[in-house]
Amino acid sequence: MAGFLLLPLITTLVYSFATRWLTILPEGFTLQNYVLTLTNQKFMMGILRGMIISVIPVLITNVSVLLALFVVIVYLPQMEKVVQVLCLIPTTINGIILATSVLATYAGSGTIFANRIVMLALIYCVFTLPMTYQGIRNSLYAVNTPALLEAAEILGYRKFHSYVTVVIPSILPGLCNSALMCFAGLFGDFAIIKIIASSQYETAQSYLYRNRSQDTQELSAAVVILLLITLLINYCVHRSQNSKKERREA
Amino acid sequence: MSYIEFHNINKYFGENHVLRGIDLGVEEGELVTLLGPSGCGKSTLLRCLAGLEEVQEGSVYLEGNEITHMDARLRRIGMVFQQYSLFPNMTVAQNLAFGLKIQKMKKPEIEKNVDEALALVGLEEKRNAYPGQLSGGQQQRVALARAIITRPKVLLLDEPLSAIDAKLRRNLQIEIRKIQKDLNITTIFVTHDQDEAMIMSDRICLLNEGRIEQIGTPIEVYTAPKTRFAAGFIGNYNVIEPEEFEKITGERRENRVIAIRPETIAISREKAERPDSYTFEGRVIESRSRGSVLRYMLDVNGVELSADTLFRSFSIYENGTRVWLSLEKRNCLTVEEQAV
Repeated sequence: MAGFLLLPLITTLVYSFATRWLTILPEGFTLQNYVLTLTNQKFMMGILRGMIISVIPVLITNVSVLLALFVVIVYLPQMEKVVQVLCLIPTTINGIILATSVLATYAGSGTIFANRIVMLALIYCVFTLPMTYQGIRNSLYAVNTPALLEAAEILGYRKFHSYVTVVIPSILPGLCNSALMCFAGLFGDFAIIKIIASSQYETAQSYLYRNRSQDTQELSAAVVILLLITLLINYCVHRSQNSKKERREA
Repeated sequence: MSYIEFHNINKYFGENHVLRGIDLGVEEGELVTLLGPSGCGKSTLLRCLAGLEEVQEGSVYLEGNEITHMDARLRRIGMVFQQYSLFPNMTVAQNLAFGLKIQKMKKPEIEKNVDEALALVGLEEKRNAYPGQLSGGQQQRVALARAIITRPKVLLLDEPLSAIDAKLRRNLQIEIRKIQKDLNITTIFVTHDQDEAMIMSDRICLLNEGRIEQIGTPIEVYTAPKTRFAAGFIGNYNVIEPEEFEKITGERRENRVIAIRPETIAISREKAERPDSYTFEGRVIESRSRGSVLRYMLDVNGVELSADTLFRSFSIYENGTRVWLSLEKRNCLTVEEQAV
């Protein structure tokens, strides 16, 4: 299975270094494709745009879910099921259908929701909601949030203050993991962005899609760069979480 | 007025009436244990004092001031929870300093207090460790240090030793009691373990189904249970109906339940008449070793009794052996069916 997944990646990697590849082996290897890709302003801006449009919805969703779960745990435990159902609804809806429906509903509404970038960010928020909710909820129950809040309250702290200073730092590894997975999912998306805002907001993924019929070696270099960026983010977060975890549990 | 007073406390969880008219006073510097089986309301009563549960009827007083509806964070009460509830993202020192920071204490003073608290619980070398790096016993000590570092008016201990192994538990019982006495801090301790209650308490408050069954010193509660429940829960008494008592001794007592402690029944192979005692024959059904004590289950005219003897070679009887039992009349206690 690993070989099945790795083979196209390895082929793309080798191909991105090739000069010309018309027979079994390439004629030679070069870094020229990478130089061209990294100096391509449209591609680099695409990466930046892709990061921005991925980070913002992840932040909005995480903050919203953290606040909602604080209210549920502290004041309205009986509402937990309702919140859970609401947060998990997006898993039952196909992404393309949701994007098309949102577009049809708000495109000509004349409200802020008609703005394609706002629309895209909000759709991304909806998409990341189930994973964010599940990740945060599990982490909150794993650290026994009600007990931690009570312990802090007895020591003289208000509940929200304790939530921010004790509970959220305690669940940071879980929080970062779910946020990272959501970010990676959004960063790799091009289908929804193409439907909603392809002409107004071109990310690296939509750039690749638009140029898929052009110089393929340069595009392979672009794919490798995107892959490396994703791997690098994964590695950094994973390493930082592991070092914190090791420090606490060693 | 006592240092802490509960007046007619009633508490409901939905239809469930968990505390039924609790009246209890605790004196300054005293360690009172709330003892009872799971679900009897002991932790709920503790949480009512801490302000973590709302009191629906009745009132709570601390130092003569009513605190029934006061915010938990303003009560100046220290609490150790069953699951420790240490903050996992903070080191031991940070956990201890957490309660002092809100009091706007200066950093050098916080450091001094943290050092003193760590010395008190013998964990100076664990200052920079995270809770996840500590054993259960060490975590419990940190939780205790965190609770007392703020110099609370009352210390509440909610089954703090229930997750700790037996040997360490005994050491911690002694340690907690010593710290409580050294600091002269008024303490309410919750447990379902009668041995723990006997070791640690100045007084025991025995609870059952949301009611106080009996309050007294450990010796009073152990030697003079007032109710059927107290006799069964505290001393593993033989609780005998009047007609069963007649079958055993041939004597009819007033129409009330009789409680007999297992260790007050003497077992021998030979019949030995003693003054002011009942002597009767029985048959060994089963014996169980309880460390230095052997507990025999005996059949006396169709009534099952338990009797304890010290574990010695001459006191070992095979199952089915006919033995003679003797019981001093003064050790047959009359108890109430329910708390009045």
